[in-house]
Amino acid sequence: MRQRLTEEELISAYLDGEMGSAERAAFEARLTQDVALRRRVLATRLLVEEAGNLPAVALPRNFILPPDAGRIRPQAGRPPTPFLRWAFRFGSVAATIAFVALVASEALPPAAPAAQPEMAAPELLQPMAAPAGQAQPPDEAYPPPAQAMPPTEAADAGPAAPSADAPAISPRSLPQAGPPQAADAPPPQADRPAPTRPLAALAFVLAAVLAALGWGRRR
Amino acid sequence: MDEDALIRAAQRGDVASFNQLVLAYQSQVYNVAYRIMGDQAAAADATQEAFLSAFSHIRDFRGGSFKSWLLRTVTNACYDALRYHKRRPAQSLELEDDDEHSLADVLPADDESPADAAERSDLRRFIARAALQLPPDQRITFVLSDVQGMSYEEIAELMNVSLGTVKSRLSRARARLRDALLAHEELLPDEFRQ
Repeated sequence: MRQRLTEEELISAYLDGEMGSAERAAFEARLTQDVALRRRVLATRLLVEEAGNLPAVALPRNFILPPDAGRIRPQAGRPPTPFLRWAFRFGSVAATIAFVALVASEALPPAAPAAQPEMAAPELLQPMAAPAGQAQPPDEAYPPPAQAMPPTEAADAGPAAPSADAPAISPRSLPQAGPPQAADAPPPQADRPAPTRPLAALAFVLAAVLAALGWGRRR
Repeated sequence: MDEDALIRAAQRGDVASFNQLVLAYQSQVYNVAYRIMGDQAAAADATQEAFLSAFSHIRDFRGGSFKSWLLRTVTNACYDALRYHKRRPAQSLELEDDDEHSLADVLPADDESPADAAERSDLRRFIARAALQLPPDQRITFVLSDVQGMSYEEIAELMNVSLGTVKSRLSRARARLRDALLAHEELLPDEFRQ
C-alpha cells in the first residue's frame, strides 16, 4: 500500500512538473518498460486535462448582500471576551468530565449496602456469630433478616444467600450493621439511582449548553 | 475603485463596496461550491453563506489574496453543508443533468467530430460525478487543483494544511478517479481500450 501511494505521488509529481531532471529521467525510463504504469500515467493525464476543461456553471442568481446586511449580524466577527473564552473552554472540559461520570455511574453496578446482612456470605459472617453453645435467642426487636424482610432478587439469585434454615445471625453481632429496622420496614432499594446521577446529569446539561454556546461563538 | 480600497471600505461596513467584490468573485466562488456539492441549490446556499460570513468577518482579513480568503470561506461553508447532508443522507447530492449539458460542452470544437464531442461530454460528466464520491478532503483538493487550477501552495494555505498533505490528498483523489475511469473503457479514447 505504501509503495502504491508513493507511486501515485510520483505520477502526480511527474504530471505537475514537480520532479527534478534526474528524477524525471528515471521515471520516464520506467515508463518505457512498465506498460501498466504508462497506462495509469496516461489515464491520469487525461483525467487532469478534462477536469480542467469542465464547463463553468452559470450562476442561478446574484449573491449581492442586501443594503441592511450590516445590521443582520452586527456582532459577528467580534471575538468573545477572555472571560467568556475561558468559560466556554471550561464548559467543554466540564461537559466531558460530567458525561464520563454519568456514563460510569450508569454502567457500574450499584454497591451492596453494608446494612443488609442477607447479602453477605454466611462463611464470612460465621466467625462474627456467637459460639453455638452461647447462642442467644433472637431478639424480638431485631428478628433475623431472613424472617423479617422479604428476600431481594439478589438474595434469591445468590448461591450464598442464607435460607430460613441457616444459623440465625443477629444484626447486633455485625459491627457494620446499620440502625435497627422494624419488622414492617420497607425493603431496601438496592437499585435506587445514586444521588450523584441526577447531579451529574444536571452538570452535564449545563456544561453542554455552555460548550455549545462557545462552539457557536467560534463559528 | 481598486480591490484594496473596496476591501477597506467593506471593513468600515460599506455593503455597496462589498457587493462590488461579490460581483467580481461570485462566479468563481459558486463554481467551486458547485463542484464540491454537486447540486445547484446546495451550492447556492453555500455561496450565500460564504459571502455573508465573509462580510461579517472581513475585519479579520489581514491582506494577501482576497480570492483565496473567499475560497477558504466557501470551502468551510461546503464542509459544513457536507456534514449536514451526511447526517441526513436522504438528501441527494447527485449532479443535475441539465447543468452538465451546457451548449459549449456539447458542441464540437473546430477539429472535433460530433461523436467525439459527445464522448468528451460524457467523459467530463463522469469525472464530475465520480469526484462527488471522493471523501471531502480529497474532493476539495481535487476541485481546487485540477478544476480551478490552483497551485499546491495556494491550496495548502487555503486549507491550512501542509504541502505534503495537499500532494497526498491530490494523488489519492486522482488515483481513485483514474481507476474509476479505467473501469469504464467505453468513456475513454481508443488508445485506452484493450
